[in-house]
Amino acid sequence: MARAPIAERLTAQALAGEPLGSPEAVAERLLAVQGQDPRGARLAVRARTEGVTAAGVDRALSEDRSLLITWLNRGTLHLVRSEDYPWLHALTAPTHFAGCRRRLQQEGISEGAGEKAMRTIESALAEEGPLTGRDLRARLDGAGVRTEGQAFIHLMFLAAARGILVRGPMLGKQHAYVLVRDWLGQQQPVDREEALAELARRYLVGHGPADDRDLARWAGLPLRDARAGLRAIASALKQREDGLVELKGSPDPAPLPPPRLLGAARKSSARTKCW
Amino acid sequence: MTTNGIFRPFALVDGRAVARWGLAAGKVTIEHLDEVLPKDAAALEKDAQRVLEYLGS
Repeated sequence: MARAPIAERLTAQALAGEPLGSPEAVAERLLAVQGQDPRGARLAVRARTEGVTAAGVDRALSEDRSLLITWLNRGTLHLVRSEDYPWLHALTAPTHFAGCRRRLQQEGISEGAGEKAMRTIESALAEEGPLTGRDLRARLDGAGVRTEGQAFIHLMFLAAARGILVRGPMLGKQHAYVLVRDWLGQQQPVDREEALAELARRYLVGHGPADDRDLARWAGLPLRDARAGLRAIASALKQREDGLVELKGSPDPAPLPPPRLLGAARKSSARTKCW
Repeated sequence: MTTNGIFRPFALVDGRAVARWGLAAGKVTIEHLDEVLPKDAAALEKDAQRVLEYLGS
């Protein structure tokens, strides 16, 4: 591949150019922000904003319910706007089930025990509201479901893939789980074609220029899905000489930003200079 | 769930990752991987202060 278009991507990612004004604006621009490490997600917001603090991120997660964290792209935790959650979840969750089932088996959780865990989690959150991981683990232990080793986190992952729960408000330093239907209201069905088109468009806004493989890798979706999304927005795309595509009317690259401490990045992303 | 990739905070100068950094006990430590100009190193130290303010620590 040709030299990575660093200035363009830094601009798309809001690391170069005018800083954004809120955590929500960052999540809107990037669509999904790495959330494996809570501090890392907050630092990703910091590097792209002015006049925002980590407490502002907590507020968006808690009081405002405008942001949430759950397992999305590549089955990893991401910070997204609540309004982007339904369709991004609908696109990415189906890719998680096979691996999830395998890992629960490895942890000694039968299918029946998994279903019991889902019912237990759902009724605990419905009756008690936001609960920390520690609380939920205690409820599962109480119901006789194995939570040893990695079993607990894989059960949370399954519940997230099913669309039962997300990480919503902060309870002190802990990020609490909530029932999706209580926290965000009843979810509307998602049109897959429209969602793939939106995915392609938003990916290019916040991460472009890029190609179909970049998109597939980022989202953790099959290449055919990435291509379908890009095809659906073909009239809005500009083919570049380096083989990548960008949205027509993409802003000119801003000057490189001043020296800055960033949060953590995936190693594979750093290689393609894509943070 | 996958744990693909490696997560490690880094510092960006002129579009390049030139240092790793970490935060422990309320203090930022920057570990340079590439040589940077003194003025850039100073700018990173200043940004470290802003990181602490942002996190409220």
